[in-house]
Order: sequence, then C-alpha cells, then structure tokens
Amino acid sequence: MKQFLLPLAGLIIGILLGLVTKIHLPIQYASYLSVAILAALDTVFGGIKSGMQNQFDHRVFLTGFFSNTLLAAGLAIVGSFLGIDLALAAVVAFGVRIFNNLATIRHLFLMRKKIPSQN
Amino acid sequence: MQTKAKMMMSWTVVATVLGAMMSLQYHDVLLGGAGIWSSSPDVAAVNDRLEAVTAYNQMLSQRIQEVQKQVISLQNQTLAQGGGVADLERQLHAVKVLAGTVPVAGPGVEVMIDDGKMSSNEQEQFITHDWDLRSVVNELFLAGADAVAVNDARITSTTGIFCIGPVVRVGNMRLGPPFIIRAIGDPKVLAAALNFPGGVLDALRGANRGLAISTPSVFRQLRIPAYVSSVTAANGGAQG
Repeated sequence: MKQFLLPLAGLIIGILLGLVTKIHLPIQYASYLSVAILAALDTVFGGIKSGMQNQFDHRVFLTGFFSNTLLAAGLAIVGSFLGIDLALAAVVAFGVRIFNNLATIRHLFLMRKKIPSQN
Repeated sequence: MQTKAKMMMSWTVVATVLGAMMSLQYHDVLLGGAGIWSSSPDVAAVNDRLEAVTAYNQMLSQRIQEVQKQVISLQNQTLAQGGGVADLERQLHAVKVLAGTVPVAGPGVEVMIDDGKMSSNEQEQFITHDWDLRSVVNELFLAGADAVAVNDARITSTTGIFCIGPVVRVGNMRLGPPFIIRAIGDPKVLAAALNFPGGVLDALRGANRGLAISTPSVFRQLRIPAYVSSVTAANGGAQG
C-alpha cells in the first residue's frame, strides 16, 4: 500500500500545480499538449502492465515517459509545419495502444485472481 | 529494496508531470478559450490600451466636472453683484438650460418604462425600443418641457436615441431598462400630455407588448443632470 502513497501525493501536487499556476498555453499549442498527454497516459498504462508482469524497469519507464511525450508533441509540431495532421495519427496510435494495455492489464488482473502468486 | 525505491520515485515523478499536464489542459478547456486568448500578446496589448484610455477619460470627466463647478460658482458671484453683466448671465443661464449643459432643478414629471416579460420566441415584441423612448421624449418637449432626461442621459439638441442590440443608446450613454424619463416644466401640462387618451403612453400600453409603464408622477422638485459629453481621445489615447 505504502508504495502507492508517494505517487498519489505526486499526482495531487501536479494537479494542484497545474490549476494554481496562471500559465496558459497559447491556443495554437493546445493540440500538441493533448497529444503529449495521450502519450504520457500510454506510458503510464504500459508501466502498470509491466509492473504486473514483473518486468518493470524504472529506467525504461522514465525514459519512455519523457521521450514518448516529447516525441509525440514534436511529431505533431513537425506535422503541422508539413501540413500533415500527425496529431490525429498520434491520437489513433496511442489510443489503440492504451486500449491494448488496458486489455492486458485486465487479463493479468483476472489471471492473478485465478492463479495466486506465480512469482 | 533499492529497485523498489527507484520504482516508487519514478512513479512519483511521472505522476506529478502527468497531473500537471492534465490539469493545465483541463484549466484551459474549462476557460473555453478566454484564458488562452487573453495571454495572446495582441489581445493583451489592446486590452491594456483600452484600460489606459478609459482611465484617462475618467480623469478628464472628473476634471470637467470640477471646472464646471468653478464656473457655476463664479457665475453665481456675478449674478449676486448685479448690473449689466448679471442680465447677460441670466440670458446665458437660460440658454444653457435649453442647451442642456447645466443641471436643472424644478417642478416636473417622471414616468418609468420597463420591458415586458419575455417569452423566448417573441423577445422583439416585449423589449423597450428606441422609438418608444423617442416618442415619449418628443411628446414631453412638445408639451413645453425645458429639460428632459432618460435615466442619467440629458436630452440635448444633438442627442440621438437609437437601439444598439439589447440596449438603447441615448447620446453617448448606453442605457438598459428600466428607463426613467424625467422632464422639467409645467407639471400639470406635462402630465396631461402624457396621460392624453390615445396619447403616447396609451399607445404603448395598448400595443399588447407587456411593457410596464408607470403612471406619470408629478414632482415639485426634480433634478435633471447636465449633459455629460463623451471624452474621446483624439489621437487614440496617446498622451503627449
């Protein structure tokens, strides 16, 4: 239980930070941030999945989180310069991955109930 | 143990960043674009300029009021001293009352017109229009009113009355309901002119528009403000 507390506190601090600060992104960057959020969510679900599979590696997780987020936003920006809506591609791709990860998490969760502790 | 601590730390970092990103985006979505636009340098610059011009205008209006007070007190001194200058001052004052540049107090009437209750599909019918106010104002002047004002807007010879969207522009003021029309003159004549059967108020009441129109009330002492001119900065507000 204890290992969830610090990340939860971090999440709450992050949310408060975002709500309290008066920083507003200019409207033309709003879609890039949403793509970045999608990539971040994908990484988080991937992390949960690998944690349940006991394959979690904090280096892979951290680098994956930041590089995925920045790459997704960066690709969307490049796409907007080239006239290709890469933000849409990112939404589709990450959306599919998120649902895949969720399905895997659900399966792992159900399997764990059936077969207690495989280690 | 070591890896568990690292795992916890990495989750914390990721959760913090994710939370900040999501709440930032949520904040902007919640504001519906208003907050996003206000940070745009163009909008901010124009806003700043508007505020500066408004503040400058307010300062100038106050200054005008002060100066007018001085002028009135000086004129009263001249009147008290008597002589030929006093005659001229009396004439000047009468002209100023008609021009609307001085506040007037005296006997008069007051009538209030308010919007009817709106049903959403027939809004047009139930709001007070510019021509309603115009007809009442014109009727009052025809009945010999010396000074007429709608709410705080004194009617002068150059005062236009026209609808702008949901409000009525009277001179340089934008007015909303209820409209209180005050007139100074012979109260009996003015009240009779308004109450005339089939007259202007009857026409407004009878149009089945749901307008709330008070019966004209007679006052022994009524105050009507002076015309307040719009202070338009000639060169876009730049102070030189």
